[in-house]
Amino acid sequence: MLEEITVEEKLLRFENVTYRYEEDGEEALKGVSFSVQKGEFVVILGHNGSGKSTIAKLSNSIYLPTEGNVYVNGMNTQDEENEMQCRKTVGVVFQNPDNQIVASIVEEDVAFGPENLCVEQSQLRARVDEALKSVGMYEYRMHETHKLSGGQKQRVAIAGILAMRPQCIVLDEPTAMLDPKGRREVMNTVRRLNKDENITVLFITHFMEEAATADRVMVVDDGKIILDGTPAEVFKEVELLQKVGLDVPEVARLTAMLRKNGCDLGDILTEDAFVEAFIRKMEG
Amino acid sequence: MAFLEVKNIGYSYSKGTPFEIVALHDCSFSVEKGEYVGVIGHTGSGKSTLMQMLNALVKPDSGTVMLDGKDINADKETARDTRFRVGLCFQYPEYQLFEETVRKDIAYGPTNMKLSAEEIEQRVQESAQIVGLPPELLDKSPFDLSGGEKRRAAIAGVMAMKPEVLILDEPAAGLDPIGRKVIMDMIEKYRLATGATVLLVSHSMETVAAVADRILVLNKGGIAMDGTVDEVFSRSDELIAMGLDVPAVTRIAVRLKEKGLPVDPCVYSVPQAVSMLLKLIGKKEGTA
Amino acid sequence: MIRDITIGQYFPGTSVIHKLDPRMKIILTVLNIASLFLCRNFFSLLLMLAISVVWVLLSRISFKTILKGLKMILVILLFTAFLQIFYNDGGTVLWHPVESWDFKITTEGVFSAIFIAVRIVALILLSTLLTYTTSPTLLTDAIERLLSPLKVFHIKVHSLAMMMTIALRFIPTLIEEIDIIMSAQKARGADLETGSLMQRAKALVPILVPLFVNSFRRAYELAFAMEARCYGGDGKRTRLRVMKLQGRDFAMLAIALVCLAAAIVTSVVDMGGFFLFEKVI
Repeated sequence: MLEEITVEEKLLRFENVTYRYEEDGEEALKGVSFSVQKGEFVVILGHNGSGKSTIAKLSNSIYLPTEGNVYVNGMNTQDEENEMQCRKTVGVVFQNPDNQIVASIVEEDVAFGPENLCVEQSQLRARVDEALKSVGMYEYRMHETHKLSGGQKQRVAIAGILAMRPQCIVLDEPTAMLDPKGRREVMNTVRRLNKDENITVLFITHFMEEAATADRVMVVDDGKIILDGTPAEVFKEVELLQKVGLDVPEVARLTAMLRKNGCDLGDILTEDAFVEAFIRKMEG
Repeated sequence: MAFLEVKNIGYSYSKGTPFEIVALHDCSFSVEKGEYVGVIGHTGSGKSTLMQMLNALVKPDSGTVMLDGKDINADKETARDTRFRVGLCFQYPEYQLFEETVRKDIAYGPTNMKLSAEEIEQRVQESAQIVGLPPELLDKSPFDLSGGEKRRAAIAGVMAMKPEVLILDEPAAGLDPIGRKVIMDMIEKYRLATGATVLLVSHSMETVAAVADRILVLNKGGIAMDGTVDEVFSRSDELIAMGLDVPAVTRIAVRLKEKGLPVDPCVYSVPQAVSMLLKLIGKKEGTA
Repeated sequence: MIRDITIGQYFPGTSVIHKLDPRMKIILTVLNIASLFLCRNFFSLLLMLAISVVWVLLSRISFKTILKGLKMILVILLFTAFLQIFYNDGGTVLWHPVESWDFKITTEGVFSAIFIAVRIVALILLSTLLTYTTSPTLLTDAIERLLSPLKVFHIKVHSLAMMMTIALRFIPTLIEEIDIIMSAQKARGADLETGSLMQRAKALVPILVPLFVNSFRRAYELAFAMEARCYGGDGKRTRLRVMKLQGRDFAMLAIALVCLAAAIVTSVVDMGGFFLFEKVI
């Protein structure tokens, strides 16, 4: 009984998942196991081709595992009757903002998901407005999608998923094609959704700075998870990270080098925390 | 006179209609032979338009672009010739690959230059080597390459024209740290091999600060700053106000300065920041 | 510039025309265009031109925008008008430069040229106004509903409509992409402007191949994104916007029918010769 409850708490669970794109091709994922708790903000890091993007498409039954199982809220994604329920529970936002917007007008695009779910017409409007307000794009509801900036398009894509009222959002490198401003917009939106609306987030990226404020960071290399822990724990592994082609965020490098030189400020990953700790050090 | 000279350039879109938008106004700067210049500006600052003027793809409404003392827009021949002398590599260049084989694709530019077959083959080999594409890939279809290899093949296609000025618009966009380093290394290799002038367009101050001699900052269609890396970073607070992506250590330095600490905001690398902060602590402990 | 193309563009707004039921808007446009083609004299033509202008005024889309759209077809307009002058030699001769030539300008030629030009302008006004004031999604939804009787013949009306929605959504994206690819290939020395027809066709290969390859990639990614948003493909969906015929729809329909009747009557019935343009001269 006890065990059943803990299983249910896990919104997303990968169990020994192996995935091959072609029947006798290379394994993109090699026996990966992990789970995501309700309300968590998990970042998956890895270089291009590490297999991290495959995880996104496996998490809502767009791909089905070659071996092993993926569970969404305890439902196996391999069971066909679970397909729609899985996609409703776990929404996926993709990398290229241009290639995931279906409609020409912002609010029509956001309505696409709930329309497919046959949400009653009387509730559609409320869902669309709410989702757009959540990502700060409500004023743009009548704008043409192709005229938006990259960051705005990506926020519309997030709203399109939100309008389906998912419990978890998986974002597959949503910032890779954006400029710094767009990256900040998307990051802030996702953080807010996790904090204020308690939406579980699985954020896939190769930008290290984006991992600093996560609850948990997983590092994927060559189809396997090689690190899994809090950002502080993960970023201590400077050499291992560099070996798999990743950088350590500047702030973490700065504190590490200061520590080596006899100035220990503690575990610091964000600029705010650094400024605060350093001033405290100077004053005390 | 400088090798590349841009004088009082102005440009607007949809000119003469009510939709007219001024993209650039009164831009002037010059670049010497062999210089490595970083061009920084956020989306919409006009930097892409400006770069397309340097190889005569876009003709300015006013002002002139002089290459080696000659107006590049003087006539059609000069304009076309300039395309080969000033190589422009667009953002996400892998989306412009089209030939049956990588070899033919890299050869597209040199073929348009009407070079001899031997010369073309030699250039293909050379540029493939600079970007690190192994010879066995040359006979593959470009569409069978991996994402990173495609990007390299596309950049090789521009390098094969052996331009005296190489302009790259966000050549590392979308790549991971290793991929970014590979691209920066091959630009350096090309530079050393040919002595070419390089203009690197980027959003990231960090990338540019690490390689360039000089930085041009574009803002709202005009040139906001033009100076050495140190000169530009000594105005870090302005860079941040423009919404540019400065390195985290620079932001930290600016914020510490705002808090009243005697910090020089002109830092852009971790080692610089470490030595500066250690000095501060040392001073404090010295007085205590 | 290739980016100046405004075909299929939509200008969001809240005017009466924007608010009309899109199904009715399609029917009205068809009716108005039919009336336009039935016009045989200046009276009915001017009536239709007036109706078109009233539509534009009601839509509150600026005349500048409309004129910009017209600019694209100016060449066709002038060419057609010119041909009309050339082919019509009835009525009084106004100008006959060389006696031995067939070429002469007559009153009838001039009038029919004006007639054709006005008709084309009104036609463009009416049809562009449909896309200018209706969002592509609504437009395709409306077409889907108007064509839904075809389901009886096992035609997948929903899939057709979805294809149209996506096509309209991607037109601006593709136009931008063509622009970039063209510039990039020109930067590598592509010559698109000179040479024989054969050479020019060949020069298009470096533009068309990447365009197709990229479009397939886009289609592939879009399919994933649509699946992730629970798209089933069977047409079982609700809609954000309900289409409901209202008083204004019927009012506009009545006006359109009156115009159609006027066009038919004035072209068939002899109005004592007054309205027929040959007699006006």
